[in-house]
Amino acid sequence: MDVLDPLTTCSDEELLGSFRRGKREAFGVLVRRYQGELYGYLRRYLGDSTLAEDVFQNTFLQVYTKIGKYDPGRPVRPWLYTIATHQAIDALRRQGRQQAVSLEQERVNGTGDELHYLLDMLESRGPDPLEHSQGEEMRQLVRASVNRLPDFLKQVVILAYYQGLKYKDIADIMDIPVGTVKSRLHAALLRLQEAWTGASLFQDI
Amino acid sequence: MDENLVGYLLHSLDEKSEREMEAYLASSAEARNKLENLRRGLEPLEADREEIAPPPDLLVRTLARVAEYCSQTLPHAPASPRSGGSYRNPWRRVDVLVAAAVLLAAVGVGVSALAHLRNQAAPLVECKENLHQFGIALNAYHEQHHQFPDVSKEVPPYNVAGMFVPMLINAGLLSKDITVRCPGNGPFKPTPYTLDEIHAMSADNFALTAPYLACCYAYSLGYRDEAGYHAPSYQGAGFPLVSDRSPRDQGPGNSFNHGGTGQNVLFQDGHVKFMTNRSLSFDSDIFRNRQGNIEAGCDPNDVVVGPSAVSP
Repeated sequence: MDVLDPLTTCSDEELLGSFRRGKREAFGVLVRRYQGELYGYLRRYLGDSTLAEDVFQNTFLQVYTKIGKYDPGRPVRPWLYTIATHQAIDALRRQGRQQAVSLEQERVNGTGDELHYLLDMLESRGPDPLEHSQGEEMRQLVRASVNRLPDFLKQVVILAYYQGLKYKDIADIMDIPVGTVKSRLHAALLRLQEAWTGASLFQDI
Repeated sequence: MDENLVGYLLHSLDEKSEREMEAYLASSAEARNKLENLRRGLEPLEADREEIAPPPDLLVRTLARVAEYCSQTLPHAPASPRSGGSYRNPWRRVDVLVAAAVLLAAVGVGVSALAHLRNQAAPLVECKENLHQFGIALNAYHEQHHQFPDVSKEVPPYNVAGMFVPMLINAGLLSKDITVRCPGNGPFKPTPYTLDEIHAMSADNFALTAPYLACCYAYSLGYRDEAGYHAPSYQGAGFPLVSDRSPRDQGPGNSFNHGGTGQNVLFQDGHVKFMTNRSLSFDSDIFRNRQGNIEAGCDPNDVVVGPSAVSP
């Protein structure tokens, strides 16, 4: 009969607490628990499997070496995402791929109209603009359109839609107010609708 | 309320906001219509929802990296470079494997993972052990001669960096069984000739032999100023003495010994550090002098560790 290791049934917070108290086995359990989710996030955000693996390893190296800074009981998931996101941004910066904070970012943070434009656009729109695309072609089209978003919009789409995080956690990870998370998400969705409509028009020609 | 419609669709709201949104939707047909439009608008994203699988050995490689990091950063036992006492390498290959085994213990990966780990971590740690052996011998030599081996005293063309290995062996301070091929680069390979055999060689034969005397390792070339040439002598803990050799193409990157990721460097106090670049706080390139040449430094702080066949 298989006997479950008690560590594997611990909550994330209990695991990190154990690790913090010196139980090193808990660290490996945490890495295994998050390898799919965090690697998927990094792969999607960075768009490069080698870089994603490197940043994943750096993330857990940080967890290992900075465990003393972890406040016992603090939710682990957003804490891991915060470290991973910072590591990813550093990696992009080292590669010269990090986009500077732009006036555009200031503008998106500052207006509240994106949702209204988005709702108007969806209200007046005809059939699904990507209905002609299917399967792999559709997937590639969608991924390419997300990748073309500025980093600060792409990040929020990935965290909210693909990673399923709460607004509050995203706000903590990105160190921005919850209201900014919402406006960025609305702006990102508006741009995606515009991109998909453009793709549809192009296909019709 | 509309500002939370997208969050409601994605389950990104907190519980309170979600309940408020449910009440709002129940009371407003217009809100329900907007929600349905947003749902359709988000639908294309679903096409790329498929989970991205991690590489199969990501877990093992991550734990190996952490174990390797531990092996490079644990504090070293205090040791005077010229104390004459025995030097204990504080973190050996077996320790890394034990540390990694502990990390792996609870995650259900077995012998194959440890084998993988061994393949990855071992060369770097074995190389460090090797450099520690050089460090012990070099410090003992300094104890006797008040400087590290001065290869410039050899008659040209025998005055090359790699001569420090046969000089140490000849002095009885280094075992002949030490490998001069970095374990990251291939199997054990001793330095090919004794000092006497080298001195009996023709210059042509020596030219063929010189690159293999220290093979994968580089040795400090000292420095030259108005007063003349100065062989390497103890300057401080932060000064490199031996390292993985520079890239064979003499390009700007790291040593090839560990796949271009960096180089192990033995410092004058006997500690070994894996450096991921070629610079020190006081010297921008340990493989070239300030004039960009692979020869003796231009001043005491201009460190150059040169490959086997290079003369100071």
